[in-house]
Amino acid sequence: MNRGRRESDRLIDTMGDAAAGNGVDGGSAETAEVALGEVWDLLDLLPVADAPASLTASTIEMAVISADVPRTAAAGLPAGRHWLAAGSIVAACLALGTLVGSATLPQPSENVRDYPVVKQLDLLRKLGSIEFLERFGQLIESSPRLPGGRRPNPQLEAAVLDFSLFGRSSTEAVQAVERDRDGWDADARRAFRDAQSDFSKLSSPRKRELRMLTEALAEATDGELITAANRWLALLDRLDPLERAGLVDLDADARLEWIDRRIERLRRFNNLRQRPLPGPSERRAPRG
Amino acid sequence: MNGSASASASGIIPLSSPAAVGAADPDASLMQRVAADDATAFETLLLRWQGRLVTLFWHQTGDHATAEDLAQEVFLRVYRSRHRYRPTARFSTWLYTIAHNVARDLKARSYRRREYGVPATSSVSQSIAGLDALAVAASGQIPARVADRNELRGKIREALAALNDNQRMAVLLAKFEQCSQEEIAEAMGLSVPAVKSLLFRARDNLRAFLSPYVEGPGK
Repeated sequence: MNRGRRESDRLIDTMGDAAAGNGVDGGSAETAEVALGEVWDLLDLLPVADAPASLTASTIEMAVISADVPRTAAAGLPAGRHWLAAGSIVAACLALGTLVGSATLPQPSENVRDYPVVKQLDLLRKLGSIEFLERFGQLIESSPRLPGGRRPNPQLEAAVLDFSLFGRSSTEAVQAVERDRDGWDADARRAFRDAQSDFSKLSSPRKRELRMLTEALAEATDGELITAANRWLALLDRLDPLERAGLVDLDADARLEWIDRRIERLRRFNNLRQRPLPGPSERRAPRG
Repeated sequence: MNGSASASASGIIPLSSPAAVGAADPDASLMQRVAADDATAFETLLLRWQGRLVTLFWHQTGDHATAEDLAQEVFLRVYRSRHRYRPTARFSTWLYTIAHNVARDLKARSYRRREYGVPATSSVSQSIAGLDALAVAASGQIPARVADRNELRGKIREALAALNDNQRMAVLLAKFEQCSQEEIAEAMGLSVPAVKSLLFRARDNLRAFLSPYVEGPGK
């Protein structure tokens, strides 16, 4: 690779110059240059990875699924009005939040019960509801081509631990919450306060839905719910942020409609291809 | 992402017309087809580049599975921004810029998770290992040649992990991707002198750690 060799030589020259410029005498600079060359050559021992066919297939599938995003209603606004719209919503939410927050301070017992829900509010909103995850799990069964979820989501794992630790109204739970909060820095405290404010603005049925989801995840012994949650989070993570935000706000029916449309698109795409993407059985297991 | 303005500012020779682009950089030509929603071109680009990105991220993070995820994320971003692609600089430079951003985002995410008590990925925690500790380990003066190839690979990985993220990325782009200093500067959003300095410090750190394993003059 001529270009590579030229660049490599040039880099070594640059570094040799820098060594000389740093007060190294002529002989030492020469020695340093030779040693540098050897260290540089040593890096050739590092192995080169290959991208398994399954990764290529999964990347194409994800690209097809997430392409041509139907933007949310706000995306239809002229560019300059996005900020205005967003600003108005933020201002209205702030005003409403202050009013609601001051009027409905949670009782201590409620505070502890909702602690894991508030702490993991973002994640729970992404997951949606038990109903959605169960129906999504059934969809995975019948449609194994849906990409994503090759590894457990660390945020979900931590959240499930939180749910089983704090999801009780008992003295131990109160103590556990206090210990947990002691470890927080200012940013974490601020994030929790924001989540608390967001949670307080949710409707009562939605709050109930999230509490039930929290309990179900804490008690998910068969693993199906967790598997569905992992797969859904992996799918969400790979979407355009705007589309992800739009999906999070949808209910179970609307989410499943979206998924159906994307699976149909994937089918059409695969039918058009001369060479099919490798099926799940041909895919290599990911390396750890 | 439009690389045109910043590319010319950093000294990369701009490719003047789409025809020139196709002749000079076949990947840019493929990317233009991707922008026209040609799925086959996207697959060809993937086949040409995904393995290289997996290697880059593998050595950057120390974890193969994370590397595959990051390489996939790079190409999803490429696909999402295909309509905004302007072939005024090499495709590779644009791709490395996205790769650098994806690696930086991973780091930011791992910091946010730590705030909330979620463990960082093992790879990131490994890369935080201090150079001092590693240098002490190396000072056992294991004679050159004694270490077998695998052990040596392990030491090289440790030495790479001890570099900071920017130094490591610059070394990997220079060594494995044969990027020029100008290209590295463009991809990492730095000036060329900053890249020179980054590579110099990286080299120095690598040499400090790996010198027991190389045959220097007179040895």
